[in-house]
Amino acid sequence: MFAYSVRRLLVSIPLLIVATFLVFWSVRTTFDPTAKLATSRDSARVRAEMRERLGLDDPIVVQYGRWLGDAVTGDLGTSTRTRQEVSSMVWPALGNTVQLIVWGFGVSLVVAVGIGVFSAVRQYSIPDYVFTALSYVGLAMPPFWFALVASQLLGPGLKDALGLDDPVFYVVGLHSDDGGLDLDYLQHLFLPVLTLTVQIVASWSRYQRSTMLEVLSTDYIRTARAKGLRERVVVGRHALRNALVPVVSVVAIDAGLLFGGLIITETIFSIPGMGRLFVEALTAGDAETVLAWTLVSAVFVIVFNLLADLAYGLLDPRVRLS
Amino acid sequence: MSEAPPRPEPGVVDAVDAVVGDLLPTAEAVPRTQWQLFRRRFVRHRAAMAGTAVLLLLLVACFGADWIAPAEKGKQDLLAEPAGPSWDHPFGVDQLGRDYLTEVLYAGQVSLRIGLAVAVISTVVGSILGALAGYAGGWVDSALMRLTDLFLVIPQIALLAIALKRFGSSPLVITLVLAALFWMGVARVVRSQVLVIKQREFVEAARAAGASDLRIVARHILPNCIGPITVNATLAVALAIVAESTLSFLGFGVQRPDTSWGNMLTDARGFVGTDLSFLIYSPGLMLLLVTLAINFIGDGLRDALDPQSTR
Repeated sequence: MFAYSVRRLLVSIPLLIVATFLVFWSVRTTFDPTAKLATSRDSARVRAEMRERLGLDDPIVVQYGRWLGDAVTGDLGTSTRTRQEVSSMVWPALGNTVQLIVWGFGVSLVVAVGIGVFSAVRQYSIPDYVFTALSYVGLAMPPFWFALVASQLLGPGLKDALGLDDPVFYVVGLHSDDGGLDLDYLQHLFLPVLTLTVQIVASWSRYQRSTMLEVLSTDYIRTARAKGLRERVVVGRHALRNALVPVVSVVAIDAGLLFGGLIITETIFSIPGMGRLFVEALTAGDAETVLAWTLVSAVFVIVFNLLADLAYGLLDPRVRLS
Repeated sequence: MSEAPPRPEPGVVDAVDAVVGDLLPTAEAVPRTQWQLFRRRFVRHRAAMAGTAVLLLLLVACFGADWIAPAEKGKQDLLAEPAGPSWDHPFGVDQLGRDYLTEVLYAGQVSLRIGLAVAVISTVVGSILGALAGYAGGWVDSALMRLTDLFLVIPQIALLAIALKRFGSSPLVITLVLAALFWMGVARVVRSQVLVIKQREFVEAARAAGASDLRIVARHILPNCIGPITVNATLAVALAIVAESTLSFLGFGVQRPDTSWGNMLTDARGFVGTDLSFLIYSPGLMLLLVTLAINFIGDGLRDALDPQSTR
């Protein structure tokens, strides 16, 4: 399994390089870091000097090679927007983002599997129809609009409805004090995580439902029931474990969706994470930060896919990773 | 060698036979065309019919805005107080004294036009390239697969945003950029279909009869992929509209003075928690309605075009 992981990662390296090169080319030909010097005195000379210093006149491949070489050693350049080291901006942002991902991912998985299994076991019951209807709406709902509506209704709306002084759920940031895992943190976390998960839960739960239904009609489930096993054991141990396998592959495909969803969630709830960093950097034409973001998100997607593959092997002993 | 005389396509006859055999009791085996069968099944799909009705209504309302809209486009009435929905202004009056319903309808023109255009372009391009890759195999196929892999590595919304920064953000550019990303999904679907269909006997028969590769793909293989292609094209409209509105919301898509549902929501976002918070609802509700309607239509099409599929 170790050898498999290493090989998978090696195979993804060319992918990573080509993808980041395309973004590099795109960003380098779009943003001119010397543009802000256009109004300075003797601008032509100053700009030429700066281009020389930044190596912007070299062929794009040479520039890319230099950037990649620096990036591998952890030097992501200096932001043209804040004049800080990009790596010093990325790390704290990544910290916030990872919190959202872990919560968002964990909540989605538990809720989606729960709903899916429940709907399958009680097929054509009223809750099943309700979940089906909700999943249609959840899939069709643009996440950014859901976030707006949720921040209105459950933020100030809920506060006014209950006549409270402080909101139940906050719509800005992750903490109002100095941090730590407490009630305040959860009050901040609720709406962003809800936004991040609603579409994913809608799609995963449908998928879980259909794979669960398929498994429940197999012979070995009939055997398990015929042996006189309790329904909880049949569903929980025999059916669920097998029904999880196909879901894992869908989870892997949605990794990009999750990371992309952060762009919206963090922007709307003003959480200083990777997604917001990306939007701010791209809006301001901060090439170095956009490139760093691309690299980090691509690595994330690749690692996530690998983890899903490994989980696949763990859940289904028939799958041999070699 | 001369062309075979015109006769029904073997593949189509197969499919019709299979469907007719399944659907009709033998006693009243009235011959029906594939199209009639499809129409019957689609019309019986209640959700799909409701979706069609809603979508048509919205299309007529938005593109007929010149005649239907209660006010003139962008007309500001600075003396009018911004106010929530009322009989005179069903969607309310915004902060600049504009009738919000009018604004929403005109913004819909941009959103819907982009969505429809993206779906058409990406379907045509994706079908052709997917069929080519599936039929020819070899390096064409691996090039397509590697290319699509490549674009899975970076979150789509970010790629689109970067591309729009690079190429500008007029509605035309937005359409082309979205289509440039969306065709790959269609291509993958068509490719996998073609891989199956090209093994079938009727393709072999066509080749034995001396049909050229182009003729085999265009007349024998692609018509048999029409189901997945149509369903994908339909869903692509919804995906494109949501992608456009998300990008516009973030500030990378449609720019003022053009309006779309996405950038209307950017403006409305500032009013969350104020008296004008009603402005966030209607543009998003339109997005939700369009997407829901299209998804239902897609479901109906899938069931009607592929009677063997189960959900």
